[in-house]
Parts: sequence; C-alpha cells; structure tokens
Amino acid sequence: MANFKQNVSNAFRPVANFFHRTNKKQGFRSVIAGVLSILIGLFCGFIIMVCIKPDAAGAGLWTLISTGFTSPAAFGRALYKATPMIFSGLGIAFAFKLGLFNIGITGQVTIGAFCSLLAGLSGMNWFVCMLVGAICGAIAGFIPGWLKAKFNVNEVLSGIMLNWVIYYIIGILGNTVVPNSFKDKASPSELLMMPSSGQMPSLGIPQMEGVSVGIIIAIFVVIIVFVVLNMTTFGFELKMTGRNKNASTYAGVNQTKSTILALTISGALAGICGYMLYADPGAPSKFLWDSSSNTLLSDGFNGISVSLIAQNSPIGCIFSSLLLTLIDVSKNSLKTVSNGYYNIHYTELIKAVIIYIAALSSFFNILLIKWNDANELKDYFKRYKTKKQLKEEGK
Amino acid sequence: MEENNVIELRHISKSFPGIKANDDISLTLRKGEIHALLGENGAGKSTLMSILFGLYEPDEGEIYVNGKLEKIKNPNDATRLGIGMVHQHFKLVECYTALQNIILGAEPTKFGFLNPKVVRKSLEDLCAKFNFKVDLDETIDDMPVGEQQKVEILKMLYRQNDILIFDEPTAVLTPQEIEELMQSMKELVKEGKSILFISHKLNEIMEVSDRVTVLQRGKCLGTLNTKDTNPVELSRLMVGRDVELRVQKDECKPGDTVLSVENVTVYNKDKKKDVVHNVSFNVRKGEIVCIAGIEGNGQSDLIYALTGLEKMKNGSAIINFDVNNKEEAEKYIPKSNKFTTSIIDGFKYTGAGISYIFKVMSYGLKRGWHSFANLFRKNKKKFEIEKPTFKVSTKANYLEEVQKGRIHLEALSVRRRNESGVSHIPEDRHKYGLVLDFNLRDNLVLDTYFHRPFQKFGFINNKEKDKVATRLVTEFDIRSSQGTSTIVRSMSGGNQQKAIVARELNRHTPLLIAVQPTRGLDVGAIESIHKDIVKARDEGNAVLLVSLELEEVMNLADRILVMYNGEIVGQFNPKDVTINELGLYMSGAKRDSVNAVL
Repeated sequence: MANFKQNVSNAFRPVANFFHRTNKKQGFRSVIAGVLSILIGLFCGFIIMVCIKPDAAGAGLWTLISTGFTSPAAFGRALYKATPMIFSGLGIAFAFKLGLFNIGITGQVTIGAFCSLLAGLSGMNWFVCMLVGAICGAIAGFIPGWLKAKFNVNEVLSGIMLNWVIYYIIGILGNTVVPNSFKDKASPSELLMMPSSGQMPSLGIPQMEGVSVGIIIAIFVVIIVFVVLNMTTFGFELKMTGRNKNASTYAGVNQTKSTILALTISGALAGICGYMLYADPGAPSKFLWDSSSNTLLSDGFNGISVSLIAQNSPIGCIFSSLLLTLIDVSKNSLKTVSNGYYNIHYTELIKAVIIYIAALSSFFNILLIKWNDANELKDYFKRYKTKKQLKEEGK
Repeated sequence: MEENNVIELRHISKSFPGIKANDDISLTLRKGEIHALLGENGAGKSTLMSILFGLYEPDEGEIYVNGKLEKIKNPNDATRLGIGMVHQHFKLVECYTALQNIILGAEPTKFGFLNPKVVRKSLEDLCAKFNFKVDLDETIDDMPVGEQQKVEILKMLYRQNDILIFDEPTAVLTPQEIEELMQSMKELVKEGKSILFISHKLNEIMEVSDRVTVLQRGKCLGTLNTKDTNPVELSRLMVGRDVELRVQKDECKPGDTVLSVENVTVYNKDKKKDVVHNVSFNVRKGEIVCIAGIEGNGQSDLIYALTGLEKMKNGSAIINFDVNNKEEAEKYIPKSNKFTTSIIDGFKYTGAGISYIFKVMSYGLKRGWHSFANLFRKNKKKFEIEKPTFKVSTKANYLEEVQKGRIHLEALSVRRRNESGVSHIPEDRHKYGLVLDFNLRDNLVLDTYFHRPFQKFGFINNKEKDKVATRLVTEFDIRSSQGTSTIVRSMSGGNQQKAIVARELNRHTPLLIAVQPTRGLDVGAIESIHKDIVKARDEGNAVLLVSLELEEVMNLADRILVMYNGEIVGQFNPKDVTINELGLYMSGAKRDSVNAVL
C-alpha cells in the first residue's frame, strides 16, 4: 500500500513541478487559473447534459467547444459579438483597480447606445457616433464618481439608482423629443436601425462580414489600458488607492481626482460598448424603449462576468469575452445535435453554469498560491506519507 | 527528559521561499519560569512562536508538551494543550464588552442560552487575585491599551491555559502600564503558570525573566541564566557586534526657524471634541524637538493636522525659508505660468462657490430651526453658530505667499506639503506608511514616484526605481527574502519600519516629522536609525519627533515639549530634567505655562 502511495506521488511529481514553476510568474499563474476554471466549468456543463440526455452529452460537449471554429462565419459571429463585451469588461476591470465596483455600467451602456444611435440616425460619421457614445457614457460614469469622491456615497448604490434614472429618462425622451422620422412606423417605441454611415466599416474578410474595425479598436484600447495601468504614474496611483486608500492619501495622491477619473473612464468604455452593440455591419439590431420590454441592456452585466473570468486583467478580457460568445454561438447546434433535447432553457443553464464556475478563477488563483506556500504538491504527498508512518508507529 | 519541562522544542526548522526563518532551534520552558526570547527583527522569534501556537507547521523538528510528543496543527490544538498567546496586535472584538470578549468561543450556556453570570464570579476572583483593574462591562473601544491587554490575559486564564506566550507585549504600552504588566507576570508565575516572553527591550528582560534564549538570523545562540548576564553582553549576542546604547551627538546649534506652529486647534471626529487646544511652538534648523506624552494626549492628531491627513480647525503651520538664498528658494518656488494658474483658480472659485451656497443654505435652515425651537423653550437660547464666510485658497495666493518665504501648510494638499519640504514617518505603518500588497521597490518610492528619474512623461521607469531601492536596502540593512521584489506584507514588522524610515530619510527635506520611528525595532536597528536622525539634524534640517518612550526622548531630543490633554504643559532641556520629573508632567500632576516659540 505504501508503495502504491509512493507511485502515485511520483506520478504527480511532474504536475507539482509544473505548478511550482508557473507560480513564480504572477501573470502566468492567472492564466493557468483561468484555463483551469474554464475546464472545470465545461465539465460541469457536461454533467448537466448527462443528466438531461446521456446519449447526446458527448456530442453536445464537442459541439459546445467546436462550433465556433467549424466555419469562418460562426467564428466571425463570435468575434463581433465579443467586441462590445471586451469594452464592458474593460470598464469593470478599470474601476476595479481602484477598488470600485461600477455596477452603473448597465446604464452607461444604455445611454451610450441610445445617444450614439440618435447621432447615427441624424447622419453622422461612425467615428463621431462612437465618440458621442463614449462622452455620454463618461457623463453617466462621472455622476457616481463625483458623488463618491465628494460625499462618500457608495458607488454601487448610486450606480444602480442611476441605471433606473437613465432607463426612464430614455423612455421620456423617446416619446417626446426624438423625431418621428427616427422611429419605426409600425412600432413607435422602437428606433430605426443604425444607418450604414453610422455602422463600423467592415474589414471585408470573405464570409465574415460582421468582423469590423471594432475588433481592431478593441485590441488597441486594451493595449492602451494595459499600458496606462502598468506603466504610468496614473495607473500606479490608481492601484495604490485600490490597495490602501490611507497610504495613498499619505503619499499625496489626490483621492477626489482619481476616484472621479476612474469611474468616468470606466463609463466612457461602457459608452463605446453601447455604440458597438448597435453598429455591427453584419446584423444591426433595433433599440427598444418600451417599458414592457427590458431596455436596460444586460451587456453591462455581462461585462462583470467577463472581468471576473479575466481577473481584472485588460488583456484577459479579450479572451474571456471570446469564450462567452463562443459558447453563445453554439446554442442552435446544440439543439440539433440532441434532437431538440437541449432547448434554449437548457443551453442558457449550461452557459450560466460554465460562467458561474469560470468566475471562480480568482479562487483557483488563490488555491495555486496556497499550493506554493505549502512548498508545492510534492511536500503535500511527503507529509501524507509521514502521517501514514506515524500511524504504523502508533500501532 | 526532566519532569518540570512543560515545553520542549527540539531541532525546529522552518523555511520560507528564499529565507530560512528557523534553523535547528531547540528550547525548553520549565514550569513556573519566565523565559525570554530575544532577537533582532526578522531573527525568527515570531515564526518560532507561530509554530508553537499552530499557525505554521515546522519543516523539521518535534514539539513536546508536558513530556509528550504533540503535533500542533492549528490554534485550537494549542488551546487544547493549554498554550495561550497574547498577540502584539490584540485579537479583540472592539464593540464587545470585556466579558463578552473573554467568553467568546467558549461561551457558558444553560439550555442553549448564554449564561454569563456563572463566569462573572470566577473572573472577578481572577481579577482580584492578580490585581487587575478591569471593568468587565466596559466595551473594548473605551479602554486604554493596557487594560485591553489585561482582557487578553484574562481570556487565556479563563481558558485555563498554563503556558502563556507574550508576543512583544510592551511595544504598545506606556511606562506605567509596562510596570504593571511586569508585576502581573511575576504574579502569574507564582501561581504556577509558565511564560514565554518575546521582547527586544533589554531592561525588561533583565528585570523579569529567569532565563533568556538568544536568536540571531534564524539560529539559536544558546540559553543564558539572566542572573549571569548583562544588557551589554545580550545586545552584543543579539546583534553580533558591540552596540552603543546611548547616541553620540554633538552640541545642538539651532539656526533659523523652519516650522512655526501657531495656535493650532484640532477637532477629532471620532471623539467628537477638540483634542488639541491652541498649541504653538517652533522647530529650528539643526534642532531635534521632541514631543513627549502618554498615548492619546493629542500628539497623533497634531501631527495628522500638520501633515494634512486630518483637517486643522484653527491656527496655522508655516514653513519658513530664506528667499535671498537662491539655492534654497528654488526648491520651494514652483515654476508656473499665468495661464494654467488662472484656469486652476477658476475651478477653485467655482468649487468654493458651490460649497459656499450649500453652507449658506444649511446656515439658514439651522437659524430657522433655532427660532422655531425657541418658541417652545422656557429659557430662550442665543443662536451661536457663526455665519459662513467665502473662503478660497487660490494658487495665485499661494505663489504670492511663497515669494515672501512663508508657506502656509494648512491650506495645502498633502502632495503640496510633501513638496514644501515636509517628510513624515507615520505612526501607523500598516495604515499609512506602506501599501502591503506592493513590493519593496514601489514602497521605497511611495511618495516620490512622480519625480523625474522615476517617471518620464508619465511613464514609470522601473530600472531607476530599482537602483534607488537597491541602494536603500543595503544602506539601511532592510532584510527580505527576494530583495526589492519582495511583497512587503511578507516582511517582518521591523524591516517594514526600516523601509519607511529609509524612504523618508532619503528625501533629505528641511523638516522631518517622525512619529515613533523605532517602534518595534531591536537595539541594533534603533541605534542606526537614531544615528540617521542625528545626521539629518547635523545636515541642518529640523526634526520634530514624537515618541512614547522616555529613553528615546532623553537620548535624542535637544528640546522636550510635554503634551498633556491636548496642551503643551512643559518645555525642558534634556540635560536639566530627569525621567521621573517628565513622568509627573506627562501624567498631568505638574504643569507650567510655557512659551515654546523660541
């Protein structure tokens, strides 16, 4: 028996060594943690599929993973759906560096979408539309930031309230101020689609019309945010305030300025997200403000899970939003694979479980650090052996 | 094995990544003795005690408790074996009463309901036995630190622990409280308890302990009988070289005034009252002015008001410099152009205007409410709140003041104060002094990261940071496991303190404000920091020192100001005064009317 244990521990040694080596680089550890959590999330999704219809589970899992890569069109769809998500994820991640939870992002996305659509419908260029969205989002982000900095109002509270304020203001504006020429004649609580002048220019890749300049802008902004956070004094101040507010006051960081700026920039990113939601050259959708339908765009909330999976890393946001959309595009294929057993409710459930587990990636990150602290897995097994020996001695 | 060994540690080793904290340490604790554990910062004392208390597991070695081999995996195991620990930072629930804290985790119950009455009697007996003056129904918030510590001790006694570990218990106490603690420890030992006492204050160890074990850099240098040794030998063993226990310094040659504090009053939000009343004093070039006093007499609030961490209610603090001395003046007078100045001032006027409107509105409401309330009062009250005034501190005004060689600190932001020649070693190193999750390199430039070599056009230059950090690490002997990349949280308390001192002294500012710069440090480190402070003085800088330790005060100060109850009650030359005399002023038994502005 003791021999067997030793064999097992020997078998795990390379794994343990691997983790030990990866633990030395913090960034690499985060990546490992993210991948681990996604794999476990997929496995849990697999278990649910087994519960519903065991025969189709294997095929279902494969579909879940591979659909996005089967055709250029599918991959293109995943890519353009991921673009706005990158921005909302970035917005959350940016505010989080200062320890602020920008839950007002939903409202900021909505106001950004609404204003940029109005700008587009009045015939403006796509870039100007994007700027309009960013500015409107920034203003919506500034308000909770100013309240937080000046009056110490909790940003979660004021953010949620502002979401609803924006929701109803859009309803009022839509019914009164917005000219009828912008509206659909059949259903008056709907804006027209973004005209082609306001849509982002497509990159023109065959079979992937949806892939536009947006993805390039997204990657560019991710790099800028990464540089700002890690290489500039402004980012240093933000991180310092996030980790220890008192010490940053002591070091002379202007708290008011950095709080307001962080939430404003976060809001601007959300505003761009709002613009991109309605400016896809592939299949632009329509904007509703009828109070019976949900006008508050859930894409802001998606940003929270994007940022969580990426552990607030700007570059990680690209991959985590891509992961979410890749799962998203496999919905229809899942249904056909299982003869309709995995219907829309089940696919949503599977998606939710995967996101839920994947969001635990920070937990896995901590676990990896703990393994390192306990002098790696190697020692873990060594200790197990000594315990065993102790027992034998006791007898 | 001897019968009366309650604890025996055999060949304990423990390493952390990059450092061997304990290397083959053996130690025995006899029944009924006080065993002192002496060592420098980072020598491995706390690690060893954490192993004994079950917070870490040793890599090698065995622990025998009452002659039996035991595995202590967590603090619960330790409590089961009768081992209790008083931590340096107390583990008490602040809004609970003493009694609630003591029974927490081992609550006496009757039919599932709390029944503290049973315990009260036995606790009162314990208090009487050991002469503890603790009010069991007082909340921890309202207690002085010394009393809180007694609650911790009572907690251990209530759990019937026979082996008590004191982790640097005197670091946070006043001299009187230390005296009381020493008495209590002697009483406890008489009752058959055994005490492990961690400290690096030699005189306490000499007074109270029976045996002393010395650790140096993780290794055990042996155990001595306290009777057979003396402080000089102990300090040499601990540090590994001869240590001067008194600082050598030249006669003080004070020059012009650098800092003048005029009629400062500070309001404390938590205590809801003024804690500093009308304090005036000055600090001159080449002089160490030391504010002595028992903790909580307004020293901290005064310093927070000077450095900008709290607001000043009244009065002013002024940095003076010589305008005619061009080299000196250049440091203070910022380069600015009229355009940006007027834009910034525009913002400031707008902000001040908005806040003025709010103030006037609230004043009006208060006045209205007062007149309404007066209708129903028998004794009509007078309305006493002052009318708000429109105040704005513009950059233009600031520039004008600077041209005259006077900088009013009270109107400036913390950043501007730092740039006006104030460096500050804060009292609370975890709250203010350090960002614990940053690495050592970033912490060593925490308030200078925006200066030229560390940043260019807003981009951080880590190489330059590292250069400076490496120099400071060697200069100030800051020990850490992975050099400048160590996360500060994992460093020992003393080395964290050294990092702060290194950072602030490296700025070579005309005014150094140091609050308890040697708190929790060993003799070797204290010696070097004292030397550095004296060196800063000899360079012609002014030093304002706040210390609770009278020895430090007597050692360093050129002028002593005693603070009691928010006022300065005495001013002395350290040569003309004894420690006892100072103690009388500090406790409020004596007071002079002082003119501390020289």
